[in-house]
Amino acid sequence: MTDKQENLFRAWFDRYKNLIFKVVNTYAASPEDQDDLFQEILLQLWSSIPGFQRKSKETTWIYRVALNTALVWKRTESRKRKRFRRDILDIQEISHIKDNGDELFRNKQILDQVYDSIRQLPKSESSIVLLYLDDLSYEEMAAILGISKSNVGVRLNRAKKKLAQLLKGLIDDL
Amino acid sequence: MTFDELQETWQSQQSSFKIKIDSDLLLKEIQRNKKHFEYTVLWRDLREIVAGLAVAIFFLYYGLKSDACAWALLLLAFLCAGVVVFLIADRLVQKKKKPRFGDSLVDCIQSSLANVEHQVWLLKNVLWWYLLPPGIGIVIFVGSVMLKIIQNVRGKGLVDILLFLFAYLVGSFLLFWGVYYLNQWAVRKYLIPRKEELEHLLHGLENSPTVTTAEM
Repeated sequence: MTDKQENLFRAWFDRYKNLIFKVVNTYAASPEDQDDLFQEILLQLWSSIPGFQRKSKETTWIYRVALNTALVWKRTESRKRKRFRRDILDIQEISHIKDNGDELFRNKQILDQVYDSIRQLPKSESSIVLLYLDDLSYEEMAAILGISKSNVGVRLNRAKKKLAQLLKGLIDDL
Repeated sequence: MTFDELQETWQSQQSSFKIKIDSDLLLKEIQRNKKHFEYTVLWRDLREIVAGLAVAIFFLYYGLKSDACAWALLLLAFLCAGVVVFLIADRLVQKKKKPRFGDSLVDCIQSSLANVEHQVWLLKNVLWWYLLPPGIGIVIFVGSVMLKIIQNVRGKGLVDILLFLFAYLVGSFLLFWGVYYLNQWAVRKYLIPRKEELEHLLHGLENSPTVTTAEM
């Protein structure tokens, strides 16, 4: 790995760690699993750098690596890997959100509910919902998923309906 | 709340938490993990290849050294070497087909599925490419030794030797059956559920017959 590639990895990490964390939080619930999946995604991202030829956008690449890793990641193997890994992820909630009057606190409650609901969807639909919530265009979603734009539309509508069912009471536009 | 409002809330989430990581430690950890993974794969491959080669060399050595049944030992060595060559060739071919995580989800799942299907094929057919070649060699070798003994030894000694050879054949058969059973168990326990999981994932993404991969 060259210095250039190492710098690219550091830059990617600084720029996209929140994106990666959203993927992690979507596919893993417990802090231990999140730590394992986070490291697994970063490991795959590191390994993928030599293959990145700037034919696709950076975000497309990062989403692909993160989602592909999350889709094939197995919780049962996380314990085996744990023996060789150190905890490196430290997620800190910003203290003022604990104040009940704060809007951030309400948002956090909503997000916890949303994450719980997304985790109940089939894995393939979780990824479509995740990309939709991150406001990606159909074209970008199609490039990440490897399906046609019309197929993205069909699948997204189906996934949104399921999500609305799971979030009954919170979502009211379907 | 509408979906648009949900999108807004979703996108505001980075303001509610802070991810703290020492990037130097992270890089070290990733490099360590990568090395560990590569070492594990290399060790697994080497272990199988070295074990096969050792058996082949053992029979080759005794085949060249001994006067009796040399051809049977050389045949056994040749068959064991054949298994090793098949293993190496298969690993090299499969290395090129390894799933790439920078591919689209459909492409990556398809490669992972092909990979698992190949593993299933290998283990289901372990009898033909792994067990039968040395198995045939052992049967031929033991048969030729028995023939030689029948021609040259008489009395109680003959019965003892034949009993020993028979026990050797039964022992080999049980060992081979154990290996076969373990492989089929691994297919049922790990590979088939994995294959079904990947098929389900793939089906979840593409069930239209005219799926096209969009390029960005």
